[in-house]
Amino acid sequence: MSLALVRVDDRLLHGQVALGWGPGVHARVYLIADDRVAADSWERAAYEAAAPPGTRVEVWDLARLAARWRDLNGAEGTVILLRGLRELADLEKTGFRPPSGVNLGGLHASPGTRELLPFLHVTMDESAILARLLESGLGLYAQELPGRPRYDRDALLALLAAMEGGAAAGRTGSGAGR
Amino acid sequence: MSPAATIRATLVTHGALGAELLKTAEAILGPQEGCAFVSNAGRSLEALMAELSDRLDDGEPQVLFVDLLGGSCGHVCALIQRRYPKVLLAAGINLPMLLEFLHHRGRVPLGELKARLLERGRDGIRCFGWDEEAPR
Repeated sequence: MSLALVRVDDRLLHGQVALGWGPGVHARVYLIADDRVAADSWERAAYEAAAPPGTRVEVWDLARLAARWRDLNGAEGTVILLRGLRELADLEKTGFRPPSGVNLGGLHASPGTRELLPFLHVTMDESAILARLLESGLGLYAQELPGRPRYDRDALLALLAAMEGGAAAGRTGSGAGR
Repeated sequence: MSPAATIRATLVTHGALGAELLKTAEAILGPQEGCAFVSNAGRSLEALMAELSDRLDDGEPQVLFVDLLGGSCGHVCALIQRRYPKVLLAAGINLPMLLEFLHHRGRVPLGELKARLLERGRDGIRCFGWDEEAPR
């Protein structure tokens, strides 16, 4: 089996995913795995109504994904979307190891975050989670869009180290806030 | 529904599209009251939602124009309609649609305004050429 794409993006399904990634990986199903959306019928309906033509949107909670991800058959290109690193870390503990690896695609600036890459902002807690996940064999890589630079494990570890070094020297990254 | 001279509009778009559409519309029709733009650039869904809520807190009818249904702008506006049911969400904004809205707001009832901007937006999309022998 193969999943077309597994992506961490706090916007979940949006233009970059539906138009930037979807066609290239032959996406047929966008699977939003998120407890908040799963519990909110209005938000769920908003995502379902906006499914790109020729595709459909499914919404699962994380427990269901943890139990069922192995059954997702590659015959139908499935794109799994996760909101953040905490969600990914919880899944990883249950044995989640998608063969496609996991794409880090978008975490926006908010109070308490620092810039790892222009499209990735993490808190202190999240950078610790990321450092652990990079050693877990999940196959994490950062890439905003196809055709844009891809950062694999070693590059991300170097960026994390540089970011931590910058913080120790009293700098605060981009300083951007929500 | 009655005409509302000051019905406001917010253009919620990717990048600088909203700013430029509004600037272009004002170059054609003159300065417009009650219009603003919000870009999703660098903003999380929560940040976008907060910024829009500030513009909707008066509870009056308002049109939210978005560029792409299925993008983050469209999604946030769809969520916001739950709290602000007087909002009209108009997706797929183009210049004809925006001009129609600006020209007719305050002159026709809201139901008619909705029908007009939808019709004009669609009608503004045409292709000419390639009829007989499309170039290869």
